Amino acid sequence: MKTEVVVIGGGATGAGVLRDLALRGIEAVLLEQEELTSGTSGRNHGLLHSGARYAVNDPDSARECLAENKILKKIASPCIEPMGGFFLALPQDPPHYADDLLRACAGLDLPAVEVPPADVLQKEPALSPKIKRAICVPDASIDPFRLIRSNVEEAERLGAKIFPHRRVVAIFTADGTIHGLQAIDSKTGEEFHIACRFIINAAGVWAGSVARMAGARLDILFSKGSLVILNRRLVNSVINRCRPPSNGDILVPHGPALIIGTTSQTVTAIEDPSPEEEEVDLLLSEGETILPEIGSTRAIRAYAGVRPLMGAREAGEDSRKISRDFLLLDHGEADQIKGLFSIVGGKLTTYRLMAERTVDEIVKAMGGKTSCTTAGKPLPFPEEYTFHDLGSKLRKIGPSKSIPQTGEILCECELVFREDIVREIQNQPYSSLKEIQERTRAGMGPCQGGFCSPRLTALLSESGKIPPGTSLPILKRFLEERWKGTRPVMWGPQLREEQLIQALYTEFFNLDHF
Amino acid sequence: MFYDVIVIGAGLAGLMAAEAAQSQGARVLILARGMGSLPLTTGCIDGLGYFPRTANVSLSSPLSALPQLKKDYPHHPYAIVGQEKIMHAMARFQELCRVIGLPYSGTFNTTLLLPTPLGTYRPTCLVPETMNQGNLSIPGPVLLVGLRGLKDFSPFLAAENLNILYAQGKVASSFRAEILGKLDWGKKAANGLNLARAFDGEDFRKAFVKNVQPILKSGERLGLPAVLGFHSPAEVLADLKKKLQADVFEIPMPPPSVPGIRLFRKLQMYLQEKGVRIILGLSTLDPRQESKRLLGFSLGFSKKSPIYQAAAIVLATGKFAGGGLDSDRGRIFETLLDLPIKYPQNRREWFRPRLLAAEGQPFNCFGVEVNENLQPVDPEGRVIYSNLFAAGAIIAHGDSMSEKSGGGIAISTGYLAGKLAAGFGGKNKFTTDKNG
Repeated sequence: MKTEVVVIGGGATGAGVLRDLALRGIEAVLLEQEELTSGTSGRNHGLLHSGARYAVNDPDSARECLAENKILKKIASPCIEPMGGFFLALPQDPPHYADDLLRACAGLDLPAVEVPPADVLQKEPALSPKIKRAICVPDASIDPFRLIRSNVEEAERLGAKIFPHRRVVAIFTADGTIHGLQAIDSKTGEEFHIACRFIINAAGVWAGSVARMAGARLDILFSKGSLVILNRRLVNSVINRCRPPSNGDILVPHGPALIIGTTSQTVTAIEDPSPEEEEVDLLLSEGETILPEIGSTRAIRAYAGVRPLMGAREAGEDSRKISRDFLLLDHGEADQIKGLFSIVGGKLTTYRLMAERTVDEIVKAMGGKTSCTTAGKPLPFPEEYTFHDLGSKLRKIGPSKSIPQTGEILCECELVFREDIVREIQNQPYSSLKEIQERTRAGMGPCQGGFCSPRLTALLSESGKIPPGTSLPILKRFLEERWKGTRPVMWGPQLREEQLIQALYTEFFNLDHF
Repeated sequence: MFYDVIVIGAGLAGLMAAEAAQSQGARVLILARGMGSLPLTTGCIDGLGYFPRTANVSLSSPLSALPQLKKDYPHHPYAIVGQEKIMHAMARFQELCRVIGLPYSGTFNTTLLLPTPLGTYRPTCLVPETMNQGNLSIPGPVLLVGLRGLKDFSPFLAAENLNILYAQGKVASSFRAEILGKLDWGKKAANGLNLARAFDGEDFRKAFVKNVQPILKSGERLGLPAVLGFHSPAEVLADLKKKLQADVFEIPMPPPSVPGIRLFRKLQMYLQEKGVRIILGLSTLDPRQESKRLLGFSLGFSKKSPIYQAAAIVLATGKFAGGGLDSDRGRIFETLLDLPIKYPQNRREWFRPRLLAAEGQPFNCFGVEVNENLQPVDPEGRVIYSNLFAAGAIIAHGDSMSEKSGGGIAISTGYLAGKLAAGFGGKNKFTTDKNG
């Protein structure tokens, strides 16, 4: 295969770069070692920052966030819930921080308005009545899975190609210039060669190892962040603690759920990050101080992502102090490898800007002049897409007696129909239940796929798209992955339901002996 | 209101305890929060499928493993009840099932392998006669038929995986799959309960047979999801067999399970006919006690709430799923009497990193410690309440999930606890001059 540019990494940055390249008419291919959003892009808060979080310590990041927040609300509005957010100070929070924040925001033209705590409590009665100060900011929640797919889908429509499950194993240079790479199909083991002039390394936490394949140097610090999902929303605004960034100080409502995050722990291992019981307990007790009901709400899952952060050599103990600003590195200048660019760091909120800057560099290196149009062009969204709003699904179903016999609900938690899942399976060569779940939301509710995953397995098997004899291993792999996320939040009603679910898989299906 | 025995819990252990106590002449009351856990089970009675738990191959006889189990796990419920009483309890259960019209075949001395909707097999021990022909050691071809819309049964998935086991020589039956689409069971949703009720009707069965006849080859057994009748499965099965001239069997389904509900309803009706009072759906049970004796329970916290008293109490409340145990972030507790539970302080140790580890999850073994008379004891081994007996999953050290022993533990401990409670009640009857 031959192309102009290869983008490595199917996270937000890679997807944004691919779309930008496609819109500028540049031929491009994206390689992802697993699935779109398998890495950090699918393991975060789903928060569209207003920039206020960074206003005090990192004004550059804050400025970028603010600008991108406005742009994304225009071009990606279907996957954003522009609910607004608050910075809330409790008596134990440093009293000067609210003033610092207001001052910093004013300097950035960031609309941060102090409001009386009583007004906030009226709007959000579940919050702690101990709130001393409240600052209103334009935070929002965003669906990263849909955002990234929309970027990729538009790029594909314009001729770009995307290959999941392709792990890059070698990058070829001649006379200090990129001329291709080799990847392996992780499903079949098949080798895959692509000749190209440019490589954009958007591999996130794996960017360092990609750069090394070309003989370039790129040092990244890894910081693991764990998050917990509760099965009730509890608030209708993004809630930030009004204090210097710390553990468990951001709460983001997402559809019917609430996401609490994060922790920050410097790690060296980046594969398969897992949340720990201690992190979950820490997040919940921090969350409870500002939103007491958290203590009596079901936690349905925990997950962890690894942030790739810049400035490793200057970093101290706490990785939150490092700038979350991104780095665009032209390895032609840095390592005398022409045609290789690395784009690392940044945030989900600034993915588009990172893509724009990167593609600007590529265009310059090509000697071209096309300019970026991604900020003005709305992303495509399927007609049936809604920002996981359970209400609209209920309205679609109507009163119970009108359920047609064909309209089988396979996932009762998230009201996902058999037809929706069959359609997805027909469209894609799936090999894991997780992929089907991310696209349909089946299995994302309180039981976390405990009851619907055998049904999904049956549909996958019936579709003929998986080889005979692979259905049970696929189901078991899903269950083990699920357990990683549910185990740290296993107590109370969740443990009660889990015992029933485990009885289904062990006592009933006897899967522990297959 | 005075009884000889109050049983808390309406699962299999509670019902067996009530029956055992009633048949000794005791006046029995069952109090339960829900409708018991039978609707969540397959309706089969597992004996002991795997021992040790990590064994690759299932036991050919639960009975033969009991001596070793007693050595390795002296506190296991089976070890406490003992072989002789286990056999009595099983025989009593089978007799009872014959009386209520839901006959069970099998013995505690043999393991049967039955198919599951995933196409795996599960070792079990006593099975409803409607499942008999599903025994995977019966050679010959089987046609699995699914019903469109019944989401927990894919005959194709089951047949594909069972045929892999057939090719490996692990089962003697081979499989083929078909799905029926056109049957009419009214405007109701396609779930096990609605289908079972439809099968009770002769017209539906006629239509079903008409659809199956053209696809069933001669010599094939017919395997169907366990929805063959809500009220009268024996009749439904006999009718289908006659009309199709073939052996027919049910395959247990994930909850809510029709065979489990049938067993619950018939046992409940039988006990009520025998004079056992059953009160289900209680949200509040407030225990009343004096020193080391339980007096009974108040159904609420107000002064006007009715109080039920008994000479002896059987605790058959189950583990977490049943509601007998509960937990918060760092603590596990018994929900009714706050009986002591042994568990690791660090929550991480309640679980194993791998979900399907054959040795089982530690939390599935948690429960109350009991002495040889099934009386809950404290960490020093002292009896906590002189008139309290435990039965079923609430007792520690049994892991029905990895051992495949749930039904057998429920029946044997329920039977023994019921007898002991009735015996205790007989000797310590309430005198009626206490306020009535």
